[in-house]
Amino acid sequence: MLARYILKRLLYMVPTLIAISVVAFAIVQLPPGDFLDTYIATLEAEGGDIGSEEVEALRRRYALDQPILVQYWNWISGIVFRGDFGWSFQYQRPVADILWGRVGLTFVISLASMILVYVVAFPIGVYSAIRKYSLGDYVFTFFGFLGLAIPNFMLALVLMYVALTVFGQSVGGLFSPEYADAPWSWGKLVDLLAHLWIPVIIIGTASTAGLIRVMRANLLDELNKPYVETARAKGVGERTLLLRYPVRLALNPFISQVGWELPALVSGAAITSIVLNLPTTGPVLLIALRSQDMYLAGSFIMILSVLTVIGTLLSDLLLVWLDPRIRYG
Amino acid sequence: MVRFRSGLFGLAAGALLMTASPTAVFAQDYSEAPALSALVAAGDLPPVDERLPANPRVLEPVDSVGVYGGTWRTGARESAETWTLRTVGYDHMVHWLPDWSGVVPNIAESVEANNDATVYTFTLREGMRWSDGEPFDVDDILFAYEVFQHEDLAGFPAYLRTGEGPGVIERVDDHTFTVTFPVPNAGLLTGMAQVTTAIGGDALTLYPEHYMRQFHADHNTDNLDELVADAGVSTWQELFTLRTDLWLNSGKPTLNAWIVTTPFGEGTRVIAERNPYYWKVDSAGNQLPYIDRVVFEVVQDPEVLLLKAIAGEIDMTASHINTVENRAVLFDNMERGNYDFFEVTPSDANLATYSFNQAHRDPVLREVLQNHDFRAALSHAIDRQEIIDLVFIGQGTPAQTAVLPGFPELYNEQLATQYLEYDVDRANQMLDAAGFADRDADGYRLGPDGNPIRLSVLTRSDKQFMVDTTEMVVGYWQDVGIDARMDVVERSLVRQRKNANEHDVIIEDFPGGNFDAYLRPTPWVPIHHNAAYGIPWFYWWQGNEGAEEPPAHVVRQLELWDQMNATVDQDQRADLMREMLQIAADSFYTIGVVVPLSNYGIVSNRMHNVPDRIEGSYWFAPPGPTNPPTYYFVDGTNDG
Repeated sequence: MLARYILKRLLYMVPTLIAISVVAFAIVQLPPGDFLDTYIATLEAEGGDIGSEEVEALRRRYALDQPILVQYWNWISGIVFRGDFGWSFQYQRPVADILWGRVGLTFVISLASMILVYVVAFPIGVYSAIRKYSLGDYVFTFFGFLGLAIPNFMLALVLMYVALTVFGQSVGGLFSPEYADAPWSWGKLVDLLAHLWIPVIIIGTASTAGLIRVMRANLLDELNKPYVETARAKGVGERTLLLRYPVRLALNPFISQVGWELPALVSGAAITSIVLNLPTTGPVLLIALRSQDMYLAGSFIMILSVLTVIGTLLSDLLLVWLDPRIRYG
Repeated sequence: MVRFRSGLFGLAAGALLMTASPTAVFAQDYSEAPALSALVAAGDLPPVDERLPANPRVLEPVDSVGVYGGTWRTGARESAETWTLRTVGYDHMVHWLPDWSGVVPNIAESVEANNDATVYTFTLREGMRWSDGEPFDVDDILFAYEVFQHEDLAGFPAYLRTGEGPGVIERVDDHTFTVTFPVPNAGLLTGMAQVTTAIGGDALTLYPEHYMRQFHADHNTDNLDELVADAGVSTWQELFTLRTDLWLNSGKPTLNAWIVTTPFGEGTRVIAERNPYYWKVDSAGNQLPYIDRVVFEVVQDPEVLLLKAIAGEIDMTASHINTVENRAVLFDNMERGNYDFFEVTPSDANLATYSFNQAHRDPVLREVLQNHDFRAALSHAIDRQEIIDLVFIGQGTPAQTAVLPGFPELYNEQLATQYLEYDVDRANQMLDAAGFADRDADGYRLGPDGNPIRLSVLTRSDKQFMVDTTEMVVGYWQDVGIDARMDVVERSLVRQRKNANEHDVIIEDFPGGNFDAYLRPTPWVPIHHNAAYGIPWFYWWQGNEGAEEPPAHVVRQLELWDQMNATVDQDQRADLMREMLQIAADSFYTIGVVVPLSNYGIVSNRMHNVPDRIEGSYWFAPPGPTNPPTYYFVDGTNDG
């Protein structure tokens, strides 16, 4: 039953991904001009220049003079048949090199923030729901909304300034200069942790507030339902009751969110990363889109889409496991 | 030391001979960095006089002979970066002189040219070595020549091409080669002195033959497929391109003072370490460079560099953060960051030039825009001082787009100062007299077809000062009855419309205020795709599609330009340029608004031999020609 369900879902993925690949490639082609126009404009912004013969040579070399369908086929056939994501014009190296080199730290940061978010949001959400309109509820809600309202880049700049002036920390990046290229050691790990708190807090604040609200609202819906009364009447202790029934139900939206968290792990927080100068994947996507570096941008969007599709499947399976009322559709 | 100017070929014999300064030091006097001495003592490195060529280039330090040690901490962007090329990467066959008065042999020991600039003879330094210790000689040059000719690899750089085909490179002996052109090419040496793009001034010395041949299909028939597969690319051409870029490949030997050991893409910094085989010494015989390593902090947002500079973690930069907006905050934090400013002299011919499309597709607008007095009147209508005060915080001088007074040999007063005063009455009178006296009900002047004259001023969105300036200029033009509208679009769209000749008026900033007028006189003669006053004229000169034969005076200008590029004698070159600029002054193609006062860079108080003033033009590749290998830290350390 389950195996058949998974197989069916996997089969559905194929047309979805084909459609996504077409859309992804088309989106990158939408702005006027191509990568070379952006490239020349960047050079000219610095007062530089490039000869028109050289432009033509580059256009041929990058196959930008070919019809779009040919370009699309070159790209998608490379991915499907050879696992080759193409060549990044902007960085002048294979797309795979750029992305995989950054995935590790991106995961560390995103996972750390995700854990922070769950650890903070879950208990606070439960507390806010059962002590509705108490002082604590108001305080948490206030700070939660504050975190939601302050733009991430702003918080990043402020925290960087504080780190520089109050703690005398070297700002930007994930390591102090003396550790940046050193092999891994205890000192380097400590140094990483000392730098990690800024991005983790920044990325975490916004989603924490959101999750607190979701948890609180869900739980409030459940708390007044008859089955809670019934359980209470049967003499189940308050704490056991709370955790065994309503909280378990309120968790459903938490779990369905996992589907979104997976791509977020990779694309995570582009603006924050740019401001903090983190070597993560987010800024690459932004730069690639801006400069019309089409194979890089297209491949990136493609990978994110695959992760979203897989993440959705995973969260559906988790929901089935968590909540027996849900049936395979 | 004998210095020759690049174009100064007019020696008595007619031929040019440029020689780097003669060796003043004997081999046994050479000294080296302590770290290298240790390697020599341990037997891991040959002694210094075996590493240096027979005739190393001798550099005279600006302040004093330096001491070894320290790390030059600076910044870089992830892509389209040129600061790296201008600091560590600037070692070409010939260099600009530090004052930009001409070129001097650098990698070459001497360069000789015949009378009509068709045959150049380059002599390399005997015993010069790549950073891995392999000899550098004519084989490397010929390998580069082979790469240029291969249709799938980077082509010939512009300075090796002529209208009649590329130059031919031939071996004379192991250290001498000739470049022969079918027609005179006087731009070869100045082309080689520039940092440009992928195919830059260093194209001839970009390919260490002993290393790069393994990536070339004609030279490696054994394991090239494996190398391609291992690198994760699909063709050997891609692999060859990838391995050519020393900023992405720490394995490639180099002739630069520092070897890139941590390339782009491996972490957040790019690191370059001392090249033990560097072929330059100071006047006391110390092998250069003085500084051990250069560290580029790679950032996505320059604000990070600004914070680092304030914290004293940037030792020298004239890029990324030296903007008008940052000047105040950098000034306030000088003491804390322990740095000082040095002057970077801009050579912009203008920061805000309005080009009027004189080859417009619409015959009515063409007639209007071709009217000399119409343009002159619109120039009088602009209050330049107000723009400077509001947009440029007072940091500018009102000027037309012209060679700057600081470069007297090409300065043309008429070109620089005509129609400059802000005089609305005069502007109105001139417009009335030019045949645009009739107005419609809204007060807009009517064109020859009886409809109001409407101009769209195409403005790129990425340079805020252009948007701000155009907003004011459009207002001034409205005040004299011209319905001008600002059209702000993304910069690549500006390019596209311009290339298709679909524009009325475009704002651009132009170089050309100094020696670069010889290299890119775009605002005065249509030799470039940015000459928005006559794109079809440029196509005509190039022989492209969309061409239209320009009026006689423009044809004459293009002749003068071609003639200049085939002329060796510097006096004649200047004469030809002056005649061409005079025609531009009489024709008044563009309206200029402002030239910048000065720019700045920051340098640590502990770093010496950085000049107080550096030419700032992109074409000068600052600070490369001021010899970064001679920069040094007091006591050889960053902190003291």
